[in-house]
Amino acid sequence: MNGLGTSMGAAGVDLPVVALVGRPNVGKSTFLARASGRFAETANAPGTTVGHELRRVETRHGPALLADLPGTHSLVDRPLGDAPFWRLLLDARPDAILVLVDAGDLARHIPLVLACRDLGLPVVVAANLSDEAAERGIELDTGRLAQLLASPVHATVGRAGRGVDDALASAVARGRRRIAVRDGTGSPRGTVPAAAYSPLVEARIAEAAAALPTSPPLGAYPIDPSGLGVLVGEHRLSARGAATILLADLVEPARREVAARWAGQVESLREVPARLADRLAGASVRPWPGIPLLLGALAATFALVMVVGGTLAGLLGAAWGASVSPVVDGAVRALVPVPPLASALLWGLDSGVLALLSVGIPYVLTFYLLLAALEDSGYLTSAAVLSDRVLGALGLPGRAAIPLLAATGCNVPAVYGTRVLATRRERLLGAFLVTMTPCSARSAVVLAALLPFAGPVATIGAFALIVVLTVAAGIAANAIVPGRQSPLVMELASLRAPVLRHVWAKAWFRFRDFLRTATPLMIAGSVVLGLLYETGLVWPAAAVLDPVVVGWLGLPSVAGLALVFAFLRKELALQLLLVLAVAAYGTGAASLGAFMTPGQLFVYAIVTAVSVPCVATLAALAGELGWRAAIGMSAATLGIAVAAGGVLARFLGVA
Amino acid sequence: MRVPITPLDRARPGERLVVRDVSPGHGPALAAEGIVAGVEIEVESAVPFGGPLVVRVGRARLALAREAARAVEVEPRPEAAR
Repeated sequence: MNGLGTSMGAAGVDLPVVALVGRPNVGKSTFLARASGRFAETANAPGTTVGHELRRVETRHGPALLADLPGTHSLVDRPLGDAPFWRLLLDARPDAILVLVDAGDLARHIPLVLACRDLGLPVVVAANLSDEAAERGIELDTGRLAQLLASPVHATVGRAGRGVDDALASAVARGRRRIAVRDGTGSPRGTVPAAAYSPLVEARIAEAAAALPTSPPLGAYPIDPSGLGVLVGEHRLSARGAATILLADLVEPARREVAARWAGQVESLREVPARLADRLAGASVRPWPGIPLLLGALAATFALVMVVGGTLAGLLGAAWGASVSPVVDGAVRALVPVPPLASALLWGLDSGVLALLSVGIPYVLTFYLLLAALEDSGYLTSAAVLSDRVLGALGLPGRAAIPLLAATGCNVPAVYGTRVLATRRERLLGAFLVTMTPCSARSAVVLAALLPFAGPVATIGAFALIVVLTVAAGIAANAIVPGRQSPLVMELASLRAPVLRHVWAKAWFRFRDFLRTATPLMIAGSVVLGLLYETGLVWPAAAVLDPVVVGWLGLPSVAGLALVFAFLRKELALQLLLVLAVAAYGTGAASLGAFMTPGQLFVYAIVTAVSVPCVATLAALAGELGWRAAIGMSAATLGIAVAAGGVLARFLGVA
Repeated sequence: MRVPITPLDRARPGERLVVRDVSPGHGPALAAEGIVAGVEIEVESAVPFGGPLVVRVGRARLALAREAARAVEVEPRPEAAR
């Protein structure tokens, strides 16, 4: 159900729809999760809710539907970059609006409550983050505020679940009453809000409201082409509500003035020592200790993912090899009488599944847990502020530091990690840079190919070259992709201790996404690889690639095949090369150095590290950004890899 | 005696200022966060090498890239209003 048509309950009775509205960073997603008992994508960073989603909840006033909406600064704001918020709100067809405000900063948040109230819909206020407000010495007289607003006000702590049920029940009750009035089974109860703005502003609003429903255009006031008058005609919006939207520039300052005045009347302030979390938040964005702290956090994330990931990968691989692999092997060979076919299937069912387990769980899940913890704590906004300038040169906001770091472990979660970026342009540029960043599998190829056969200097040189290519590609992409990055203007979140349950829920939700995308591809890709190899179709394919592989890159023919297959299983880039070499040249080729010179190995390592990422990454790209973008990016990285490889080959005298 | 009006991106940590004007280009994004003529701003810190400014507006803390801060004209807060 997406709000089109009535929301019917079991007995054909309308279920009230309660819309959850609030500024970014007010704890809406956590509140919603508590209210509905289910977690979905949520983050302590603005811009992570898309569209609206209806969830059924049970309250002491009966069942209802909760509509989650993106955080917004005002009704005319465009939080998702296209439709104004009032349109998103009214599309959800709410019967009541539950507005979340920051109990510690009423002056900033009340204007949104007033704007919702102006729409003519019943409003209930949840003064959230009330625990933090109390710690800062701010106490609210919720009763007095309720009088001023002529709407119920509940103090809530979304993270702990306090007051959530009461606020929700209140909103549901109001929603039901509105439905009763609409259906004629109840009588209206003085729903016109008391005038709050100055007489001058109120007069202008009344004037615009009177002109609205009957005659387009409105004379002095340009009518919004998306049809506010239609909404008024359908009784989804009051004329006053439409007028306040049209006159937003005039009314918003009036709302701020009222909010400041009322805040002064209902708050009582005590002097308290600064909260530790607040002092840490301030310190985290100062050059000292902020920058060392950020570098430390990045290094720790990288190290944790590599260490935990590597250890788990080893353990899982060993356990699989010892217990599951023989069983699967035996079963497939018994069921499939054609040996090459059985072997090909095993490439998928044995080796492919193992790759998922030994890459997915150790690296991907570990990274997601760390990312979720960083997000939940609010530290990501501090990290974004510190990295803004550096990443700005690449067209990325500071927030991109985290997925870029994750990319060094595995590109797949990093691609999903670009969701934290606010605009499509940023997501595209971020994902592109992620695919250029060598993951642990690609780094391992570079190390294993070069360290023993070309020495440590060549190895370091290779990594340096990869960094240069990545940064250059990033700068070029920033210049080529149309659009500009708008400068950072962002509210900083408070720092809070991450809640374990939230962290786990977030990480698991994203990991499930990864499994769904990557599993079919890893298995299918491996089976294809197996079929090509086991049936010997592999060799004719080599001839097709020779002009580029031998002619341009100066590599032996088998290297080209290995490169192509490495697309399916990047971490097998070297193993495949050896397997193919032994098949082509005989057992004398059992060591890389036996059939490739150090120069050739260097070219091979660079091309492997920079070229098209593995199929799981491609799938992640397609899932997040669409196939056109995914293929475009893959083509770009392949182009850069082959071009750089050829130039390098000539430079090294290899080709 | 004229009080100097300067763009916010030249402000230093610790300064307590009042906004006099916001140029139209970045106006909406800044207004959405509460930066409009007449509000009081306190500069908390600045990220070096041209990084963003961290300012306090009311009870909220905001990060502003220098380019956005340049659009805000400020003057020192009158001493009497402590």
